[in-house]
Amino acid sequence: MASPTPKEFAIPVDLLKSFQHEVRFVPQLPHNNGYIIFDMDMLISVLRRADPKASAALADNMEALKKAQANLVIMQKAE
Amino acid sequence: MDTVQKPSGDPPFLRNVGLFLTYHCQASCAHCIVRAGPDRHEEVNLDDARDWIRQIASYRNHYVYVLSLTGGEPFSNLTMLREVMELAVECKLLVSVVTNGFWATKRHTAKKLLESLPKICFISISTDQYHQKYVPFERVKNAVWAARECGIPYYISVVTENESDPDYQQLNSELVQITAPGAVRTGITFPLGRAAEATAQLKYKTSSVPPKEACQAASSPCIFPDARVYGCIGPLIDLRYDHPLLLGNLRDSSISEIFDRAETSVALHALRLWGPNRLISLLRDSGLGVHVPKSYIEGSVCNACYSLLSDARVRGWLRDLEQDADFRKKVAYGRLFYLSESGMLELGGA
Repeated sequence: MASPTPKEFAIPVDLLKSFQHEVRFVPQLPHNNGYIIFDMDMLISVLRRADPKASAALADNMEALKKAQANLVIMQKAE
Repeated sequence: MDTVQKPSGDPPFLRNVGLFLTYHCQASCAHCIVRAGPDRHEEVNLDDARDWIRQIASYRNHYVYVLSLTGGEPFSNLTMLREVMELAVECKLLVSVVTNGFWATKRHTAKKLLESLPKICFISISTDQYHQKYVPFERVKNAVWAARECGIPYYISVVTENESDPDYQQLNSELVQITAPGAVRTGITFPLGRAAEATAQLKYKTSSVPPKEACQAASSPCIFPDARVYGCIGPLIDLRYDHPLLLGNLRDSSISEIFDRAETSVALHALRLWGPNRLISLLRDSGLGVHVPKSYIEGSVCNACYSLLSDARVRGWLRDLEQDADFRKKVAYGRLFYLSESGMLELGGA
């Protein structure tokens, strides 16, 4: 088995190798038919609407990071 | 459509759930897959909506973050919109809304309306050559202005049959005058619903090669007024047959049962991981190449998916694929590898 992954599930080695060599394509722009996907903009909005100064500063920082092509990653600590 | 290869960037599964409020709309757009219009009055029953929103909020202890209100035109029935939004906020769900902006007759009227509603965390304003026949562009501009004034992030959602269409390009050049290009999201229409009645006039670019992209729509199910729950809000909602993205009916099952089943659906997650292209390859490998669509609309994963699932033999093959232990395992671990999702493994779906 390969190294541990979130929730203590480990990807079997044969599958891991196949995924590592696979070419996967995702659309450049998210699907927009019908409704909106929760994304960083939405999180920024939520933080801003809380209004206190600290939230606004955090939103500004996140927005700057987004402009610099950063990704928002929320991880659960492995138990 | 340009594509990029990257490890993720996919929307998370089940964090966003759509609720289709009404078939009523001021516009009866030629491309509308649900055939919404001024003569349609079917809408979600408020008691049902209340029940479903409470179930959504309590599913896996607030697993769902966002309730996306769609239609039809959700602003058609403001009383219902307000009530649904208030309940969603009370249940600690974030609310996003899709609209054509018809209500934005003047800048300050639009701002006042948005301010009077419970918190909207995101708004998508639709405008394109179809909507513009019914909703003047000025109103879209007003709606964008009001959203900005109220601090509500927005997209302008545009659909076209063909990204090289001069009308579409003209509209795009007008849109960049009022907003950043990143706030304009383009989709390809489907030759379904009302558009199916005008196929001879459609201007799609077609190809014999299926689109390569993964499906991002099937991450967010949508509930319809008649209690059907679909895995996405694409053209599959037009298919009345039993198929893998018809997740269930809330008259027979609870949200929890339907969402848990969806967590372990092989076909749904194979689409999210690899798009219809992978299913098409597998179909060919299974000797069912004759059931593979002959032509695809360029840039439309949804159209490829719809064409596949329209074939009864393919639907039967997909039912068998659900029982294929090796493929199931590949999908479950593929979700872990590409999407960092362990739901299928946790629920014993592998």
